[in-house]
Amino acid sequence: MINRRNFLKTLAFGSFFALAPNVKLYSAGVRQDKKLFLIILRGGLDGMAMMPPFADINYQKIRGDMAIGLPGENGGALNLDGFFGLHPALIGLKTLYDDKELIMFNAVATPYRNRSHFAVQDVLENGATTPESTQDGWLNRLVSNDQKNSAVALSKETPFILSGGAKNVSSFYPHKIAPDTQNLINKIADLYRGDTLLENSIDQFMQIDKTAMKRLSKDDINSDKNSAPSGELENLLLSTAQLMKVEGGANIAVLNVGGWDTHANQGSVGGDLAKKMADLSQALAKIKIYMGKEWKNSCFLTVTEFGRTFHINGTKGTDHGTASIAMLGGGAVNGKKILGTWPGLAPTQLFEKRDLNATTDIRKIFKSVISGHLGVNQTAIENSIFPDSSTTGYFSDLFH
Amino acid sequence: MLDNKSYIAAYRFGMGVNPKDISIINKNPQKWVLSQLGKPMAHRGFLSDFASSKELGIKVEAAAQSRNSDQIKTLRQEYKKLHFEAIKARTLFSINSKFPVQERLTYFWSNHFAVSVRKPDFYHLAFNFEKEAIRPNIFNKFEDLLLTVVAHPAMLIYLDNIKSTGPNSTIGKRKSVGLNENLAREILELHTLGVGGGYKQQDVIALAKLITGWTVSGGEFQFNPEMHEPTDIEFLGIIYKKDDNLRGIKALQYLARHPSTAHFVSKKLVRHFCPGKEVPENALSTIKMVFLNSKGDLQQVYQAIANLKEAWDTKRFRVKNNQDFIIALGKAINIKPNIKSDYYFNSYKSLGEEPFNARSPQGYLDDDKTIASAAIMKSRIEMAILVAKNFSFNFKPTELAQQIIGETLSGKTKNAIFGAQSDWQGYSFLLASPEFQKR
Repeated sequence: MINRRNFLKTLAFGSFFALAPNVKLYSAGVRQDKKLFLIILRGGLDGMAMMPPFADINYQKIRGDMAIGLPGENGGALNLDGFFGLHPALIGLKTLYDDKELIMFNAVATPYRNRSHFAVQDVLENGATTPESTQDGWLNRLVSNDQKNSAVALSKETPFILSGGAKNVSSFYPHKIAPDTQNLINKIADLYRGDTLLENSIDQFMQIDKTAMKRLSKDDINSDKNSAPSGELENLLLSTAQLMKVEGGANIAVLNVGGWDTHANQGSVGGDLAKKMADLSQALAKIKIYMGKEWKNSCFLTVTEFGRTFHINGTKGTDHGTASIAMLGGGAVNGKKILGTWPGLAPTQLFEKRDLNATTDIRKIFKSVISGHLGVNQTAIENSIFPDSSTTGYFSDLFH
Repeated sequence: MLDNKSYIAAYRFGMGVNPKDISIINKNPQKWVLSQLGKPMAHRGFLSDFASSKELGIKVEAAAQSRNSDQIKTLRQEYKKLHFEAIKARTLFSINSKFPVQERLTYFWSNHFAVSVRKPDFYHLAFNFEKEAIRPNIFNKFEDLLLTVVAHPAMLIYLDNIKSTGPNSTIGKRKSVGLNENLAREILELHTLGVGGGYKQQDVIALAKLITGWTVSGGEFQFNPEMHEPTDIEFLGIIYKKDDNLRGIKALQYLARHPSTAHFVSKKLVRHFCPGKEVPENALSTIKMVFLNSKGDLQQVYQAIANLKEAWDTKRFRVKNNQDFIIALGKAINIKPNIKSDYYFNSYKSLGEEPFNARSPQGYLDDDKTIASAAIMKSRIEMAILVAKNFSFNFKPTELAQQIIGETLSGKTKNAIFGAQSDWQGYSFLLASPEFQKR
């Protein structure tokens, strides 16, 4: 068994997939013009750790020595707009922001007030207002309604957000395919015709199998060392970018990143959470390199199910909270903005006296991205993809 | 040849078919299942060569105190290795067990009370948790299982209870540290009542307070009174007085016997054993009733499940999860441990759903659509082909098909195996067939 570290080391750019004739991933008609990376940060990201409101006096007071200091101080925030900053380790994101390719959203939450991971993740993914109230995820409804889009999850399991009846949805986790077994696999797939439990899954992976991934052309990537993917997330993003750039490939990708549930010892300037955020920032910044010429048509959106408590708990961490941040980056994005309304951190301004209050419904962001970037029809959005969300409205001017 | 009902007995209730078991199962499939619900055997001889959580935990505490970073690093690597050895041994144990129904039940509870090695410095605890807290208790009352689970060092560490301190306790006041709600929340949400089972945020806090002081020292459970919240606590409408030393235990017992728990747990059990898109209502009512009336006597609950007609449905199926698949494969090929088979025991990594590696305390979802995603199905088929190419078999493909699937084989699959151009292709068709993916 090849050990994973060696396996990843032997990968050059684009060598995940075998070369084969250029064959379409899905039926003809999948759009080439707009790409979306939806990145779900699972576990409840502490938005205030990632985008500290350094100028808020209550923030400095209550977070105490776990607060990020003022810009210019040792370990201080990277300034965004004089009130908010980025954690000092997030250099990649700061560059995107300064280049007008990043929008930050503050005080965002789902419409469901609860602090259970799986209940709120369910709402994040079902596009409704309560958990277990739909049979499918909202992204599945999107590709059902607007079939020139197709979506892929870069994970072994299909996340609920993509679950449902749509055909132009798949899950895929990149690994090497042994060429001599392909013929046998085709025959095995035939055994599943008509099998109601399993046929759909077989069809999906057979479709992807027929696809060729061109090696990334040398023009598209800086051959400098800094672009080489390091770590699992960057490798996954590289594979995703390859999938998205193939003719007839998916234009919407869903990735999951876990490990944000920082109940204990989360650290501040340094520590576990800082390291994770730094890795994320670096990985997101690399999407620009991996998408190359397609970056101008692409965007990524990071969301999380909820934020965390404002107060630090008994174990130098934070417990489940309410509002957090979202990030929208990309060449298509009309960036260098911070959107949403800061509700403040005075005791009376906190939700249930413990959490940052939410002032933007996360569905507003989802709707604005799919409408503004993918051009999804707003009637379909209101009636089917995000039913009962008419009060949220839309952000304007997120994209060029 | 394995008949239809025996297929159900072997795969839905058990963990697969080893050809030498066929005649016993075929004689009376239901009786074969019920006979395994008598004496508890799942813990006997399980990982007996491995050190206990206490022994290993003591070393961890010593290393932490020494602050010697090399020592800590070495220990970490040692324990990681140990964990993977344990997974291999555990897989073999299940493959060779004469009580596969008990193996299935163990895995059910191990997933219900999921702990995960994604937690730093947890490698020595995950397999020991199943060995010490789950396996010995699968035939006891649910409250016994719950209590042993909550009090085990693995659970106390995994969900951060070891540092949770009553704000008014001696240490709480001295060091100004406080509560950590994590374990209390998951006990209510995932282990007992379930979301919507009738608790509020204030009950999460109350339960957290009730189990303050439940911590770990010397590698085992220790109650530290200086961390315990010294006030009366109201939990789910009941007042637990501050002088009651047993109040943490009483609160857990109360939860175990709560009707919402009966509903939540019964639903998961019925979902596990009954095919169909929806959990069958009648089956759920029956099992819930048994759960409540027996005060959570799990042996009675299992016997009732083994008597449900919905569980013996031979027309509809559930999908094997990855653990089911790997163990069924091991039984079918009568796998023995050697260098070649190391690949096999590491196959969890390529399939996903590695033991003790769930993303959250919720464990892995027991739902056919989730279990059989495109990527997973592809990986399984590739694994089946790899096994077919690399391992030796005691029977020809067509013969083996009759033994491990039998009457449940479709004409299409039968023809494919029979018409295969070579033996390894025949075995590939069999092990990658839809029939072998199901239970």
